[in-house]
Amino acid sequence: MSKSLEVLLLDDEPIVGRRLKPALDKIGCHVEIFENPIEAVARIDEKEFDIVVTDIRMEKMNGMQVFEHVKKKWPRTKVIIITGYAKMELAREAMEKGIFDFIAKPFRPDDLRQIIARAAQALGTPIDLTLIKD
Amino acid sequence: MHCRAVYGEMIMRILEKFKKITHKEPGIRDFCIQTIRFRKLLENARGLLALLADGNEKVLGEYILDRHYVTSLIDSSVERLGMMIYDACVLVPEFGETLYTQYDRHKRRAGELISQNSPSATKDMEANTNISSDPEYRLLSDVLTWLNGEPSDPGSTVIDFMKQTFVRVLKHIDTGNNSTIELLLSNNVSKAPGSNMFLLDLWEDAVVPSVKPHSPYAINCIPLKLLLMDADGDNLSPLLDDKNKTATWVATASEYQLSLKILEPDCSFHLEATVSRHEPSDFIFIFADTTINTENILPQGFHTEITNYGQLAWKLDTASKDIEDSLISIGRNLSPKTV
Amino acid sequence: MPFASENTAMREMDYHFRFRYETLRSLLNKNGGALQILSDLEADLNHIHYYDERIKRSIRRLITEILLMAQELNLLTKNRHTDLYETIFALRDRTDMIFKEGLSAADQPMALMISGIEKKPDPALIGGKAFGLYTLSKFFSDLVPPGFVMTTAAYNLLLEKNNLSDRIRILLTNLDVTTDRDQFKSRTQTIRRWIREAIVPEEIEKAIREYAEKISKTFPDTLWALRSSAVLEDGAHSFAGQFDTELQIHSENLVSAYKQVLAGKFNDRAVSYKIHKNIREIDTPMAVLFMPMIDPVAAGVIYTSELNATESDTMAINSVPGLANRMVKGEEPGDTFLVSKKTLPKLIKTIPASRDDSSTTKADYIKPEKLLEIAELAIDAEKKFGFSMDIEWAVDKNEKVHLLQARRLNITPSENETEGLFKRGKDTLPTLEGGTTIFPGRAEGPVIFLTPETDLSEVPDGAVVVAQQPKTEYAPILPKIAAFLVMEGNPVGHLATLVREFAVPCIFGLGKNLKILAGKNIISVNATKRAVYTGIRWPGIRESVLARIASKNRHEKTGPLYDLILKLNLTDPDAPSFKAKSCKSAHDVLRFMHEMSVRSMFGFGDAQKRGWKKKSKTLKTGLPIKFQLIDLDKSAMPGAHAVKPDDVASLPFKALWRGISDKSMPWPDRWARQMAGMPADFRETILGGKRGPRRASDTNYAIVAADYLNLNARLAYHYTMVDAMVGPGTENNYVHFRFRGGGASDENRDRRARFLESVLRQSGFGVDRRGDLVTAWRRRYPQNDSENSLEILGKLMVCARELDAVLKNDMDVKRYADYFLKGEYDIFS
Repeated sequence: MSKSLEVLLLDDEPIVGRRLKPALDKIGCHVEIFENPIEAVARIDEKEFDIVVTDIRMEKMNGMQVFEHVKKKWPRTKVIIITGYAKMELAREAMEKGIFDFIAKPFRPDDLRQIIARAAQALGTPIDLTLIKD
Repeated sequence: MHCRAVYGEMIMRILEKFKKITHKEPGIRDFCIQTIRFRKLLENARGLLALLADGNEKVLGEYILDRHYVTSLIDSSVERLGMMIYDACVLVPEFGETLYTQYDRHKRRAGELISQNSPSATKDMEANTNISSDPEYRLLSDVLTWLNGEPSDPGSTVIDFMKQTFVRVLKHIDTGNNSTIELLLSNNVSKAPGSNMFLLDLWEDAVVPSVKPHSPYAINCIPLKLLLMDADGDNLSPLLDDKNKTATWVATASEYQLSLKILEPDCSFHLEATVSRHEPSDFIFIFADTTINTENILPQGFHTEITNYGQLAWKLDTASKDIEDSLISIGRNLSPKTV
Repeated sequence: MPFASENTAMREMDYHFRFRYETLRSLLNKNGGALQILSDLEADLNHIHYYDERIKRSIRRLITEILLMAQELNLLTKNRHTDLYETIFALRDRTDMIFKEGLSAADQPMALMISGIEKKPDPALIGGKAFGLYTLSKFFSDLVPPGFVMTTAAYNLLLEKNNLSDRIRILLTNLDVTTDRDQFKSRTQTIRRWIREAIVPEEIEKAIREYAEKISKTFPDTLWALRSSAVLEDGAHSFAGQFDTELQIHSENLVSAYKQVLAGKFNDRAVSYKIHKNIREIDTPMAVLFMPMIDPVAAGVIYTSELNATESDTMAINSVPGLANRMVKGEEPGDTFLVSKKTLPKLIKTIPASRDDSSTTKADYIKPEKLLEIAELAIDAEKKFGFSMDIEWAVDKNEKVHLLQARRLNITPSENETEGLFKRGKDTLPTLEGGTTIFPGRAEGPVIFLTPETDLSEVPDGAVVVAQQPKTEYAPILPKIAAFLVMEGNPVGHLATLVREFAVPCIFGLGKNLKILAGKNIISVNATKRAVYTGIRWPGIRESVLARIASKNRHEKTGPLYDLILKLNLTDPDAPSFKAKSCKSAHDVLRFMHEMSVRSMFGFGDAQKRGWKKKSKTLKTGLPIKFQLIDLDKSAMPGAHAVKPDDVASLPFKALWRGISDKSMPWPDRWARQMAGMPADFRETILGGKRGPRRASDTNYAIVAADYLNLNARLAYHYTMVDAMVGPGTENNYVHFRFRGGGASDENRDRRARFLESVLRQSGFGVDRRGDLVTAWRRRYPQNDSENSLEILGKLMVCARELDAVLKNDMDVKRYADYFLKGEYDIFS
């Protein structure tokens, strides 16, 4: 009935996509996974995602640049940042600039799902986490 | 159990038996600093245990982690171990060379783990196909083996090294020749024969204080009160079940911390406790000679280790109430009430 | 047999060096940790009460670390500093006494009534406004509406339960060095949002409900007024209008209005007011006052003295029909009534809001008798309180007068008042004239000449200080002096900036003639007119000067713990007073130990030790720089007696060397030019080497291990120390840097230090600058970032040599910092 949540997931470490995709599928997200930020940004230019989850430190481009790009193109999209280590300056900078939230590795898929649920609610298209078909 | 409030009658009576060591005693400052340094050693060891526990939790497979997590686990472990070893060297300089030689071996192993590109898969990992496909997990399991896996020879894991260091250091500072405590006690015991229980304030007695005199019950020490709460003042210290009453008690106290040594000629018992109602800080740590039957002393819930030199036991990361109750039990067990 | 014992000796020496290295590392690690605790404490003490359990824990932890560091320092220096122990144990003793005096957090109530209570409330718990109201209600119990206050304990609980303390602290750190207005605004906005979205703990909600219900019994169906009551609002700083007030609140909306008022504490007016007034705290604990709203026919404010006169016999009443809040905010003009300040006050003059004198006054919403009634009450209040006040009042439709707020009145002496008091003035000529006004104003006081021997702590409050040069080390006395006169001095210098910040009347450049003031006792200064007079020129000025100083000083402290823990007294390591005995605070002890340990590392390179010389290797390089290297864990350098930089297997050393040897570094040319024609031994002296007048101590030593570098260099009178740990991981990594510039004038040294500070900060370092000593650090960064930092340090070390030549004035500091950061190094030659 309700449209599934369009999520773009960007992290240059394969483990992230590999473990998150099934977890997010289960809550009714349609996930596109990218390991290359250039490709991800190109895709963002083509399509409006509801939620973009991106790592903050990647070799070719950092997460904040991705965020700026998303913000300009699709202001409605909620962006969530994955950090590899809690860096206070980055957290501060990111929060001021308007990212929705951030999560630090290592984390459990469910932790991210909670944040995505909040983002979905903020978008006006809430998802029901109790309906997880495990 | 809010012990901060009232002094029970019983506790007062017991405390009066303690003789107060004051700043006028020689060597007391060094003794206090040594006690604080030993606590730092424990704190660093606790940090190492926490790292191990964290790694163990993550390896169960549910987490999304990156290589950075694993390498930083390695680095942190090396750093913590180094801090522990440093403390041990300060406490017992004679052990310095051997300790650092062993430490350097572990450092080299850590370096190998970090620069490994394709770590070997261990037997356990093959069972779980989910894990073996991720190099991060494979590396993590190698790290955990290095930290606390099955030792092919004793002392080769980090935790083994840690345990051995504890016992050797403790034995040396509590019972070695010319140990700080021996000097301290010999002076006191000779001055006041017959008294065998000593109490000092860790911070107040170390240097020349202000004018205020200190009596034993002026010391506000929560863990000590808990320990004595259910104890029988007339029957303290039967460590070896044979009513040997020549044991010496030395209690070093501050508001939330207690360092207690019970020393008999061939046997020693050491207890460290922090009770502050701040759970990350609270703990009980015990070292007991091999001859002591700790089963009669310790209540449930302690992690125990047996080594050649003695037994280790500790309780941490649990509710403050649990720590408090444990102290009361231990105190009771150390001095069972004569019916 | 001799071979075996030499082996043992070598092994023991190896262990000995190793142990020193590990001791230093341990000390530095602890130092970094301790500085972090200090910095967190400073931020926390701003909005958590000092007797909070968290503060106690932090402080005890800090003191324990300091004690262990002292043991380590003594291990490093062969027990040269055992006198530190007494100081440290005393610190613990005294802080314990302070904690015993404080209340435990569990005893602090969430809410308190402000009237009808027996026990005097703690102003730190309820804030200045609420306390003022409490006092007012004691004197005028039937005139002050009943109210209650949600205490600072409630505020703390709300922050704690929502995990806001850390987050707020992060955003507010370094806010006072932010020159970017936008960043300032956005940070305060973020904090306000967090507070508005916070979840209110049940105890707080319950307390609000219960107390509101209690009052509703006497005031059924009332609307509420919520007002901020901050802890510093005790009169000396008015904070007038700086926080939010919420009016006309329905009882079901009290909780969200409460959050709104709390959020208002972080609006940028409030934050910048504090910064402007040089209040150390960035934010202060806040309580919130809840009062039932009066439905007034008239309301306003009465000032018991005219604002611009120290003594006057008139009072001013401002008034509007209805609610007064818009008038108080300055959004609406009120009618002004001047009333004579006598036992039987009389209405003297009416100034209607429209400022139209010709029309008859339209202020018919309030009768003159009511105004006089209010005036009498105000005079009475002034007598009872003992100082001039501004009091908010309201008159309801039953003609009852209510008093709603009372504040101490800030009277600032204005420049214009001099006209009336210039009695003797006209005929007396100034003793001195001229110079440049750094900050205007008038002041008077006993004259004190500053010399190198002067102990700054002995300078009395209210002194007029005379100095030859405006040295930055005089900064500590600025808050307490009446005026500052300097013979030399650049109006754009660092101390000049501070003078303006502290608003001290000041003249620079008065010249050597200032010496004629030496025999005088009291002098008067008119910094606006750049004139100095002997004797007392303006009666009454001294009192206002002392009042200004007193009010400033009162807010410098954040509580009894400030002096014991945070305050840094030992600022000058070269001063003879830089001793263990002079350490009064924990911060002093840390500073002292850091300095001593770092100094001992210079001694690490003492070539007197036989083994040292044997062990070290010469660095082979074409650059005019001499280094002896010591391999700490026998892995860094292959065999031989000399080694090429590429062969040194030390990550941090390699990184630093990349910076030093970078092709774009300016020195080879300049060196050649500068040195051409100089005698050889002079060259050696400048560069450091074996043939200088001070022999081996001029050799620059670097101790290396695969992941460690400790370098002590002396390059052209500058002392540099680099201590770094860099490995493939992240957690252990740190880069520490210390620079002390020698030679040159104070101003140059100061500029040099500021240049370094600017470059280092912008390169991601934490920086501490005390005078011309710069300490910088970067901890827990990955290998790449740490190496980059070391490269930058290498380049800085080289470019620093040229700084005296290029930094000619204060504008240059920023310019050259920008050049450096952009990589335009040739500009430094």
